[in-house]
Amino acid sequence: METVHFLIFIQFLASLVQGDVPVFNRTLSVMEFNPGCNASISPCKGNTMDTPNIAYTVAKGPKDSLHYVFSSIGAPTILVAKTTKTNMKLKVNWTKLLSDNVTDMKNSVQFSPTPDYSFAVVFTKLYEYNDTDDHANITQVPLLDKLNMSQWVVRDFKNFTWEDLSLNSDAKQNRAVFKTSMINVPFKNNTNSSVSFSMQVFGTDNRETIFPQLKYTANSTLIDLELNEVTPSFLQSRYAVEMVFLSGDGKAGIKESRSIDDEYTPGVFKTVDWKMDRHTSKQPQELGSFVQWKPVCYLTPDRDRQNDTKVKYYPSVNTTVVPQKSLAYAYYGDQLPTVVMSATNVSFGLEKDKFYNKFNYTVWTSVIGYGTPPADEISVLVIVVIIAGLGTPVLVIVVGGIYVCVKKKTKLKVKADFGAESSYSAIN
Amino acid sequence: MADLPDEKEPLLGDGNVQTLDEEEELTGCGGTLACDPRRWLHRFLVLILMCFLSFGSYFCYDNPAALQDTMVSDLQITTSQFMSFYAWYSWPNVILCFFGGFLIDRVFGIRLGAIIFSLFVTGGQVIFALGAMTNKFWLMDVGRFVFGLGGESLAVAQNTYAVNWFKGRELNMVFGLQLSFSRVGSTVNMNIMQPIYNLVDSHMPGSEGYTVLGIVLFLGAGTCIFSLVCALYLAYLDKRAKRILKKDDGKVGEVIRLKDLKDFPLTMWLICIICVAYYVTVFPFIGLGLVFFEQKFDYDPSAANAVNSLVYIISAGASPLFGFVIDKTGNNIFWVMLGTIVTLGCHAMLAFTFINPYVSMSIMGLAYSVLASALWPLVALVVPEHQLGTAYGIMQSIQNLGLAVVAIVAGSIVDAKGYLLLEVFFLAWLCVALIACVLLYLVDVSQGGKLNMSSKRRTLLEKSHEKSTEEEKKPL
Repeated sequence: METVHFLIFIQFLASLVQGDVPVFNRTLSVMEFNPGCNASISPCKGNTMDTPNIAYTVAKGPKDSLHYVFSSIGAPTILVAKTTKTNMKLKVNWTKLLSDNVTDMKNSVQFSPTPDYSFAVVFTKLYEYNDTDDHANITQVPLLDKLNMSQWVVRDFKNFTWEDLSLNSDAKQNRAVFKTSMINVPFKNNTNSSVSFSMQVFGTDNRETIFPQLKYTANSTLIDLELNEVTPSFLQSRYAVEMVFLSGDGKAGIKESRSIDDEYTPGVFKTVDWKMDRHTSKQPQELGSFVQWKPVCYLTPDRDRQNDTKVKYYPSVNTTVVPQKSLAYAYYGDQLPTVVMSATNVSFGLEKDKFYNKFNYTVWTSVIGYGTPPADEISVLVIVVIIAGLGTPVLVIVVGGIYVCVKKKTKLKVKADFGAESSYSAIN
Repeated sequence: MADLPDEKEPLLGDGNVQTLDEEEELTGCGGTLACDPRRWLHRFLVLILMCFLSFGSYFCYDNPAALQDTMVSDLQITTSQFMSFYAWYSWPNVILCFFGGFLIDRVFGIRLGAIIFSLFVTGGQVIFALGAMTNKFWLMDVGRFVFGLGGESLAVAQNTYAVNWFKGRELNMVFGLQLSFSRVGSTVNMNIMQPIYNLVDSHMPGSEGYTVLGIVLFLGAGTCIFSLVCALYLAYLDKRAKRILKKDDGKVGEVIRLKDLKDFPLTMWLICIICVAYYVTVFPFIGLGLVFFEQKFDYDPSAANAVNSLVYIISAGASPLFGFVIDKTGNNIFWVMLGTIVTLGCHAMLAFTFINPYVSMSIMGLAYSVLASALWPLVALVVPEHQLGTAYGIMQSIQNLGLAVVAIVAGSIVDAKGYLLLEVFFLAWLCVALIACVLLYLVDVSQGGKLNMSSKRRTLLEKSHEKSTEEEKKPL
């Protein structure tokens, strides 16, 4: 027992001194919506139902700054750039960015001077499939069923229309919410339907207070994907999203790790890390980027545990298909042939959970950031209870053992002094 | 005392030539081997009936554990609400364990008592199933409460029947057999309820989950009805045997006097603490085990249920064995300490490692058997015989109180903080039990070391005690 809690204690201490887990704070600038987009540029003026949305925050730390650009233009995108230069600025050429000509979009978004490192995550497609066999596995669902009816509805995020960012977001909290607007073509006439992405930047290490209580750091942003009353096309619908992870320098891979600790997400012992490690072999190893999540999503807005279900991921593949019309395309532009792109699908649901149709709701949280993905450590409470709980009987045994030994010695001494049995069988 | 039946003779021996009363002539079917209460085959058949008397109650007691994942999702309840099914079973028994003997001896009599308690068990399970079918959580809690009113008292009735029919050398074997049957009932429940649920579910597509659940629980009530039939038949046979053999009704015989409590020594209270602190780490854990094994070890429901039932099935076989061994060796406190430490190790394994749970659950089953076989006999060593009824009563009362409270607390811990913290909670309770155990040893040592004696020394002591009392009686 002693070895066990000793090891845990050491792990706890070690996690505190890990060099690459940031224990510093960053100061965040107030989030800007559509920087540089003024009324003189035609798509920027007025109140269109399909608004161009860019949210921009700078997280300034002691050694470097991270620039976050969130956008729903083309496809929901998170673009992060790291620089040590304090004067780096985001420059958006709105006319080119919003032009109908796709080639004009290239390089319309730039940072000047160029950042040291950048990466982007793009949500490209929303899949809906008819899970007639209730396996909750997208690789086991054929395109057509026996009657030649399609079992799939594939929606490209580039066809979605989005509400004005400022309506749903909170600039002071550095939280941008991209919500599909009511007249979305892919959805049936349900005015409550929406797909929304909430993206929030943090300047400190902490943990969200609602499930799945993911840990975030000063180097990361929390992404919530919510499918709210999206009218299902089938009686046994399930959803999945396709994501692309891009970086100018990296190699990507998905790894699932398991832990004994489920304190923060009761019942969930696994964490999935989709890491983009740096390709260069410079020493000390430079930090890459990651997308992290726990394989759990919730079927009610309350996120209660009795209605949670599994999130499955599938092996990532390297791709060369560029998510066009997205911010990533606009930023990487001409560099795209050399950019590393890794794509994967993430599906929501588990067999026997009665499908999306039960509640018509799903919410999934992930953390996207720079550097090493945060790791859960066993909380102090557990360690204290273990040490107190296991230490006390040991103490009692030691003290009791001493007492018994002392008693036996005095008994022997008495025996030696009187030369006779000092204990005799009681009469009564 | 000369008429005391010798241990070698069967209880209801024939050939009692001194009886001048007319013995009833058994004709026809009644005179055959199987129907004659004097013959072994009849008593064997009665034994079978007795064993099945509480089969239904043990089967249905753990229905929630076997169906935890579907219950939580179909009824939309939290883990804490789920554990209230166990808490409501224990609440009535905090008080009822004092009255079970009284009700059987003075109010109902053994035959009617067994039937009434069986009715409560069956009725409770039916109400429970009805509550599930109509998606009324409060009704399910009521059902478990009614079930609890019958469950523990039925076990007392079963023991009373056993003592009445099998007093003497066969009694220990009968007790062991009854307990094993009950544990088998629990194991069967764990392993078949999910497949039954799936079967019913597949035949009723499109129906609400809670309707399927209700139907499955009604099927569970079938085992209770079977036990009720056994109770009825047993009552008939017992009455008949009473008439034929002119024997007395079975009595529990234990008198409960609450004023005895002030006489209980410190060792008795330490034993109670060990009892409650230990048992709350076994039964609530099994209640919550299904989802734990599903989620931590990635087991599917049937594998998770199989692992969860290991403690029961192993104790079904190991309890009689360890009972025999511990009776032979004595040193009860060391055995209790061993059982506690080993269980501590098992919970630590489950909490901090991913070692195959078959290992830890099997070992836990053995440790549980060791502790149960070593702990309960200690009560008879610290408390005089006329106070034993009260002693067992208070021990069971505290045990049920602990189970009721810890069930709810455990459920809340899982909802809020997950399974690692739940295991740490159980480890803390085992530490309490261990401390109480060490204190018990120390107190006992300071009082002469009576409790932890090997059985050899104990018999020597008893013999010298008898001899010295005989010596006293001789005139000077």
